[in-house]
Amino acid sequence: MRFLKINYTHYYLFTAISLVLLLNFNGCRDLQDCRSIYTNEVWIEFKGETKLEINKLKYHKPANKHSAYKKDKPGNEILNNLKDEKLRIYLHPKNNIVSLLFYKAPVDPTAPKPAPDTLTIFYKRIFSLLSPYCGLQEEYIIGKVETTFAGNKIIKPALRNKKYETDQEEFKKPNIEIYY
Amino acid sequence: MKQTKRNSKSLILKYIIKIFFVVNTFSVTSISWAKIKDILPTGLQIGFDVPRPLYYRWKEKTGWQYEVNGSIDFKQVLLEGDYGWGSILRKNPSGKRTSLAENIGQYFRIGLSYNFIKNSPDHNAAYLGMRYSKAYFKDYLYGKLAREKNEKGKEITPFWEDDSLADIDQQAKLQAHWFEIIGGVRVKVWGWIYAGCTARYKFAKKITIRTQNPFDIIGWGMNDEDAFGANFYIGIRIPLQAISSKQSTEEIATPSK
Repeated sequence: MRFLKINYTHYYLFTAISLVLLLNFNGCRDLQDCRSIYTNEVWIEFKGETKLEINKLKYHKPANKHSAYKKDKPGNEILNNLKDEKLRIYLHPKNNIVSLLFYKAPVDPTAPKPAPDTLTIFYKRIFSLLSPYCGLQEEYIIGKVETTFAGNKIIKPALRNKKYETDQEEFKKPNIEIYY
Repeated sequence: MKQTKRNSKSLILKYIIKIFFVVNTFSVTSISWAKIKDILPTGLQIGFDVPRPLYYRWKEKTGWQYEVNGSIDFKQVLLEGDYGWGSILRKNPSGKRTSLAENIGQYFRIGLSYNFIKNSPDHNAAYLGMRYSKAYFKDYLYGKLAREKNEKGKEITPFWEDDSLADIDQQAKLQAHWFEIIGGVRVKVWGWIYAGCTARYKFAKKITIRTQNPFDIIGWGMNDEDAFGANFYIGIRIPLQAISSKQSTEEIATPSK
């Protein structure tokens, strides 16, 4: 008789929930997709009342980081990357600092050349596994910016690939603003 | 005579007052005891997640993971705690770029649940609750950086030559904490033996010290914004108030008028 008094609802509930839980909850991420949400590309926007006149722009070797810069990349001119007061540069994957030299167009060609303006970006790199199929990835977070221009402001310290910027307003913002 | 009568009257009054106090004290004590009984735990349960090590070792192939569960029943409220330990290893399949990430550590969860089944003679439970969880782990990372790919999936030539292809080999001691909303069922199997299952929604995760970003977190799973989880456990439930449970059984058996 005691057996007949068992409330089977509890057991039905237990069986139903167990069956639902047996479905795999872990299969949401595509481990074979090797596109990273992180990038080492920084978007810098220059803001001033007049047009920014730069006739030479190149990467500069920081004093203590010679060995990490291979071949001729640091000396390469990247003036083509500067368009409409917007500059796109790449952070070094094995350093925590990148420096740029900005040579202004001289007003008087006979006058001695002025010293170039500098822009130095200090950043943190965080490693993670993108997926066992693809390898590791690096996340870049800008910590500090030093410049000889009038001023600077870090707008978006974390560097993300454009296609992963979900917020349209965020998408339009640069990573760093430089005032001259 | 008058004096004697007065004495006897006062004596009777004294006794009446004494009896009143004794009766009152007894009644107060019995009320308090009933209240205390309501507060005292009715059962203690200790369980082990049996399929967990087998699932992660043989199906997911990410290593051994173990979890024990403890619960104290306070009438409708359950005070629950879990402790787990193990490792999660992710390794590149053969022919793919060398990469390895391993998360080794331990975690605990603590929280309260509310049991919606009242006066169950078998102490079955269907509950909803909240948990606070914390994990302490070591995270190992080894391998080569993945080549960046464009939207079509083609590799982009890196700006900084082949520096990015150097091996990375590092480890860090990290901590993470998060919250969980849980729901589950516990049913009596036989005697003191019970079986249960719990579904979890894990959210508001924070990694306290972040020098590298783990792929998995022990107790959490894959390091995404939020996560789901499940536990199946078998355990024993030790009744701590045998009389009250009998009474409740009788209450169930006898329908109220």
